[in-house]
Amino acid sequence: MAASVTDVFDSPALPLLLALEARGIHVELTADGRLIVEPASRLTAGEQAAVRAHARGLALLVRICDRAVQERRQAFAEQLAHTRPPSPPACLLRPQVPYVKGTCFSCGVVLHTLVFGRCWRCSLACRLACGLSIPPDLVTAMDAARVVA
Amino acid sequence: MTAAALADRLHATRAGSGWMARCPAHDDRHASLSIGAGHDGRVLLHCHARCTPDAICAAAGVELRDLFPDTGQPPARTIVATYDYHDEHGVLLFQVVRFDPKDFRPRRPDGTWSLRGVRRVLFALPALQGQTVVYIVEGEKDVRALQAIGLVATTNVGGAGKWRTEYVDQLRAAGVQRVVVLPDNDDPGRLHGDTIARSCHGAGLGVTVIALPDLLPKGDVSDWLAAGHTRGDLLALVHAAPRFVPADAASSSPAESLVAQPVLVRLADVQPEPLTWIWPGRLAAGKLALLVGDPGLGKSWISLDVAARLSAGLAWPDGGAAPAGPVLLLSAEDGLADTIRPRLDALGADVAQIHHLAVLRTGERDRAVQLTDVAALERAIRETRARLMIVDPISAYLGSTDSHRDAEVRGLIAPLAALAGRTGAAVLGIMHLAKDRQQPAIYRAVGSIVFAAAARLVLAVAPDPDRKDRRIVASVKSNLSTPPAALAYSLAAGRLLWEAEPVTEADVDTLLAGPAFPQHDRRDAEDWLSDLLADGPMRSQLVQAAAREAGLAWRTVERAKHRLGIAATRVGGVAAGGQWWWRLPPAKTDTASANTDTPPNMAVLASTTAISADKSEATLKTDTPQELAALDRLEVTLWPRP
Repeated sequence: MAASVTDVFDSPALPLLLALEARGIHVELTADGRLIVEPASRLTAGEQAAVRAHARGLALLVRICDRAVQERRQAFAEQLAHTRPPSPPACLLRPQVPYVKGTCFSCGVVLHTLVFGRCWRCSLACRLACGLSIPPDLVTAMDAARVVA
Repeated sequence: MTAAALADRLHATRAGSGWMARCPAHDDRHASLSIGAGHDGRVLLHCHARCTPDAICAAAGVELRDLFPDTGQPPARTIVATYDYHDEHGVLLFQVVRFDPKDFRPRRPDGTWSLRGVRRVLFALPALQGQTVVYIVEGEKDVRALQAIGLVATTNVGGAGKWRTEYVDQLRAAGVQRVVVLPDNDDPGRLHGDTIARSCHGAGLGVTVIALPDLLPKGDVSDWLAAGHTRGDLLALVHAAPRFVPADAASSSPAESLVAQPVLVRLADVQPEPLTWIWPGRLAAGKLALLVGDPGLGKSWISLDVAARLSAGLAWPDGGAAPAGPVLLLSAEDGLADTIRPRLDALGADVAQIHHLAVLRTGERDRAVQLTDVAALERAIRETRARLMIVDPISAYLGSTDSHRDAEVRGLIAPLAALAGRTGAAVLGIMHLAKDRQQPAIYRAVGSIVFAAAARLVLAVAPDPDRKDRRIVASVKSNLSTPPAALAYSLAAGRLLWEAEPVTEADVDTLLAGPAFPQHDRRDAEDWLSDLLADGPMRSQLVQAAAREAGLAWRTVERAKHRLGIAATRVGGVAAGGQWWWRLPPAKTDTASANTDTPPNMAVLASTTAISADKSEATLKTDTPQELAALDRLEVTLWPRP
């Protein structure tokens, strides 16, 4: 069911995350790809099943909440506001960063693979700023070991 | 004969800057002979009926040679200046006459345009008597320009390429101790300046060569001063400039060295410059750095990794982009084709920016590079515009220098450090460690302590005693900044993999000493750390502070962390930003906790979407230690660990 949703903000993961956090349940995504929900004892059986079913959406929402993603989103949104259509903004957090392999060409952080591309934070923030849909499954394309151009 | 005279003879009429006349060499009805004056005084003839100059001259009753100016006379140009050359006693020996258009001719006092048999002396020689510092320039006009700002200056007759050794004798006889050479900004000028510098240096004079900044091509010091620069600007350059060392002097024997002259630098004349970091905290432009460690730990890998990141402008492991630039590599232990190039490719290097200095060639003969070949190294750095020179290892480039004798090492390492300063390139030397594990790391760099003393930055590589595949590189000396945090790395699958989390407060001396920790300390640390984190996650800085209070070595705490399986997670920030949190694994935690500093997801989502603020506040209410829940967690694995 989650796979058919084209935007994570339309997915059941959003109300689920909000409900969990409203009850003080912590949701975290680790760098090695584990979604942690605790304390699990507060979860009902239905909620535990929902967490498993919408884990990718939850993870993506947690990443969207990353402070650095939000900083980038704000920066890119300002670039968007100051760019006349039809030309899209470049969405570069630090324009002086060189376009080289192994470095995010937007912010300059080290990528884990020697390819050209953006880090997941810049990629996600760019989508957010431009109002593009963010499929829940996108989180698996944005793990720490991969690069999203 | 002048053009005007010939025109008069042929009854020519003015036509522009020349004349037109009927050509006497053929039956000319329409004045087809053009007569003009060349810039050197020659008479120029051109018949539009293609009569030859010989025929025209014959018909006009003049000799062909009459068309050329008299070689025994000065050209028909305007004299704009005369410069008198006197001997030490003020006796006029000859003059140099400057013409417009620009040309120079020497003449004797009697007007003869030849100096055959005349003693050559420096210009303004009487004014040099008793002076200790003299500026040498190319041209009398430049001498006048320097005299106008109160400096003592001279030049030689004939300009570039006409320097004579007897001029040095005149300088020494005048009491001059130091010369400042200001070459013109062109190749002949630089060559001339180098000739003067070598000549004076060889005679024991202190020499400084100044390449004036911002000079246009072919410009000279007169142009430089005319552009608005001042005496103070010039003096600042002179005081900041290094002493001239001829290309082959660095490798000459001590017996050939010359009498040392004190060169004083007044600090008021030194312009403060900011330090330029290449890798913040670890490599600085114009400074010597060392990377020391036992063999087999990956020092060469690190040096190549640094070269790769610099060549391609990649980011450093701890964040921030490397300034892209060429690298000069001196590597004696690894093969270029089978080791270095594949490694650089794997590291993402722009190999077009990395140059290997293989040998030095003299004529047909090649020889090994040594660190005493300072001039050759400097030339290599300047030709490649290298921002970094890597010497791997230093011991392979010592030549006959005894690495255990401080005096010999100092004689080698000081010029190397000066070379870095002159060129602005960072120099990274790789060194092995001595086996004495009781010594502090900085004393274990093989050979003389002078190596480490001369280096402004020293990094040491050590194995992690808890993990065979893990290495730690930490600062053991940093004269330029607070020591940077240690970094961990491993070598796997033909790649160098850095860890993102810095190894805080790594005691490199302890690391280098190898595993020697009492077991009871470790168990105490494990118990202490378990208790500390029992109530929930804690920022690593707070753990450090608590460890200090408890009297526990940080390294011991880090070992305990590893043995307990404590996870470290960074929250927020990019590169060096953010905070690291330590959290016990589930089995080790007695009570649950909600992470009090986890980013408030709900609040962020409220700003990203249209969620009400009330719900956001409800989330924030959980951020208190009193509301920590019983620990149990649900984990869903989304992707395998990279």
